[in-house]
Amino acid sequence: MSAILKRIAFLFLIVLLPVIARAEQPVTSVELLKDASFYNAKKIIFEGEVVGDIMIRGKSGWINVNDGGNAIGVFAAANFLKDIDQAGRYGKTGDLVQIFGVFNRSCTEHGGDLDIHALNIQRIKEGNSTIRSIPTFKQIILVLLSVILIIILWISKDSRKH
Amino acid sequence: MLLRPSFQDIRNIGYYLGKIIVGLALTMLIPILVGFLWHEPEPVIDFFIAAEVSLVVGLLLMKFCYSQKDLSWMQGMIVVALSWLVAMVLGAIPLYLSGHWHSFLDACFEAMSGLATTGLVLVQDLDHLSHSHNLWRHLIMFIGGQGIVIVALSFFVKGFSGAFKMYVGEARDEKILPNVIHTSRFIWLVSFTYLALGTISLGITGIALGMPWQESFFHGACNFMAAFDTGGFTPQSQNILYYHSLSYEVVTMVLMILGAINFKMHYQAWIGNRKEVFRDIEMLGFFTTVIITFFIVGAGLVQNSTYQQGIILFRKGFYQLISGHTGTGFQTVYPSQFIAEWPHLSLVGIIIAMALGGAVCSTTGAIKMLRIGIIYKALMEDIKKIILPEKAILAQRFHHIKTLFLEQPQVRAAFLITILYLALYALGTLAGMWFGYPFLNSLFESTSAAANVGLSCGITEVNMPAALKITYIFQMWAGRLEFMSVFTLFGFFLALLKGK
Repeated sequence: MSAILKRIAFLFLIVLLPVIARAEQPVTSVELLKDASFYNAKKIIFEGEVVGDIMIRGKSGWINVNDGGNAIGVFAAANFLKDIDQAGRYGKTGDLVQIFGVFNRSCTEHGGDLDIHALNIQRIKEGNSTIRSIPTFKQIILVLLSVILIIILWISKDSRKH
Repeated sequence: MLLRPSFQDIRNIGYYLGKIIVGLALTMLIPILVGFLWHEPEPVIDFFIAAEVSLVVGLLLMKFCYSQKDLSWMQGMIVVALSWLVAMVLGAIPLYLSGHWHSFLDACFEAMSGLATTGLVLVQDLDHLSHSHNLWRHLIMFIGGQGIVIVALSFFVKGFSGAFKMYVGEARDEKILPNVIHTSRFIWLVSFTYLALGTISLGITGIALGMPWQESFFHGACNFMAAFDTGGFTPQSQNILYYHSLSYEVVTMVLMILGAINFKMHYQAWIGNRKEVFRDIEMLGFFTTVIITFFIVGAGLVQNSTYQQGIILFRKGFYQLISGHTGTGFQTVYPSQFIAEWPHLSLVGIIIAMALGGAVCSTTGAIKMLRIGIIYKALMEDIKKIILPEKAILAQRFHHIKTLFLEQPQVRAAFLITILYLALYALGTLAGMWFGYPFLNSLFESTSAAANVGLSCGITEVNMPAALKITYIFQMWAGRLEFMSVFTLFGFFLALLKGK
C-alpha cells in the first residue's frame, strides 16, 4: 500500500514540479503579458526597477516596476512603499525590488487594469545616480555651430547695411 | 505639358521655408528653459545644438533665397509639405542626441509621430528620459496639432496674401474669422486657455493621486498637450495606465473630445451660441458614430467575456474607443493585450472609429465627420430621388454652423478625400502584410498611423523593418496634411525633372 502511495506521490510531484518551479522563479513582464490568462489570480514573483513616482494614497499606494521589458503597476500597503527610497527617472536608477504578490489580468478592484497586488516587497539593490559629464564631441559641435552662427549673423547684418 | 519651376519659385519657397525653420528653432528655447529648471545639463546642450543647426539652415535659406514676392498656391503648398519634412528632421536631432532612440530614423519616426499628432512611439527606456526631451516630444505635438505654419503665421509673419495658401495646405480649409492671421491667433487663444485649464486640472488630479506637485504639473502639461492635440504621447512608458486612476481617465477623455471638436464650434461656444453643439452635422455625426462603434466594440468584448464586470467592460472599451475615434491614442491596456485578449470584432470597431476621426479644423486626423456627413446626405438624396416622383425637385440641406445646401462639388471633394484615405490605409496594411504581419494587425497599425491616432497592437517597435517605419512616416505625413500639399510637392519634383 505504502509503495502505491509513494508512486502516486512521485507521479504527482513530476506533474506539479514545473508548476512549482514556475511559481518560485521570477516571471518577466513579457511572460505575464503573453500568458496573462495563465498567471491570472496566481501568486508570482516579479523583479524590476521602481520607476516614476511612489504614489501613496492613504493606507495603500502604487508603484510602477519596470523589468526592462515593460513597466507594471504594483498595488501595495503603504508600509511596504515607505521602504523604497528612490524611483528611477532621468539621472537616477530606481531601487531594484522583488515583488511577491498576486497577478491580475484584469483587476476587478482597479477598473480592469493589469496589475500586481503585492503581499511582500523586498528591496534587492539601492538606486543610484547616473548623471554623466557632457561628452566632448557634443561640446565641440556646440562651439563650432556657435562660430558658424555668429558668422552668418554678422554677414546678414553687414549685407543689410549695404 | 509640364512647366519646369522657375528660379523665382525656388527662391520664394526657400525664403518662407527658412522663416518657418527659424520659428522652429526659437521654440527649442522652451525645452532649454525646462532643462535649466530641472538641472539637466546634457539635454540642454542637445537642444542648443539642435537650435543652432536649425538657425543656421533657416538663416542661410532666408539669406540666399531672399524674396519680397507673395507665395502662389503652388509655392504655398510646397512650403507646407516641405516644412513638415524639415521640421521632422530638425526636431529629431535633440531626440537622437539623447541616446534614447536606436537610430536617426527612429528619432525621425518619433518626431513625425509627434508633429502629425499620431503618438506611435519608438523611444527606448522612456521612464529615464529627461524632462526637457519629454517636454519636446509633447511640445512638437502641440505645435503640429495647431499646424507648424500656423505657429509661423501667428508669431513670425505680419500678414501677407500667401498666408491663406499655407493655411489651406495644412488641411485647414475653414476660416473662423475673416482674416487668416486672426483665425490662427484665435486657435492659439483657445489652445492656450485650454492649456492652462487642462494643466491645472490634471496637475491637481496628479497631486491627489500622490504625485509630487512639480511632477504632477509637468505630467499635467504634457498630457494636456497630448490629449487636446489628440496626439497620444505620455511621459511614462505605461501610457495612461501609469496613473491607476479613474479621475485621470475622465479628465483626459474630456480633453480628447474637446480636441476633436472643430475650432469653429469652440468659437460658437465662446460667443454663447451653444445650441450649435446639438445641431451641427459634425457633432451629430460624432455622437452617432461613437454610439455605433461602441456597440461593435462592446458586443465583441461581451461575446468574448474579456472583462467579467459590465462597468469594467465599459471603462476599458469606451476609453480605447474615444481615444481611437478622436485620434488620440491614449491606452489603458497594453498593446499586446489588444491582440491577445480583445476579439476581432472589437478591434474592427476600434479600426472603424480610428478611420472616421473627429471634426475638420480640429487637431484630429482621418476622414473626419464633415465628409462622412456630406456623403451620408448625398446618399439620402439619391435614395429620395428614386422614391419620389421624377418631377419632384430635391434640395438636400445640412447644418454646419449655418444651414447649407448640399452641392455637387462638396460631395465630390468629400468622396475624393475619403477614397484617398482608404487608399492610404490600404497602403500601410499591404506593407505590413508584406513584412509578414497578420492582416488584422497590419490594418490596425496602418489605420492608426494614417489616421494619426497612435493606438498600437504591437507592430510599432524598434525591431520592425526600416521600410515599414518609412511607410508609416509617409502615412502620418500625408494623412495629417490631407494629401493636397503632398501631391503638389511630388508634382513639383516631377516638373523639376521632366518639365520644359
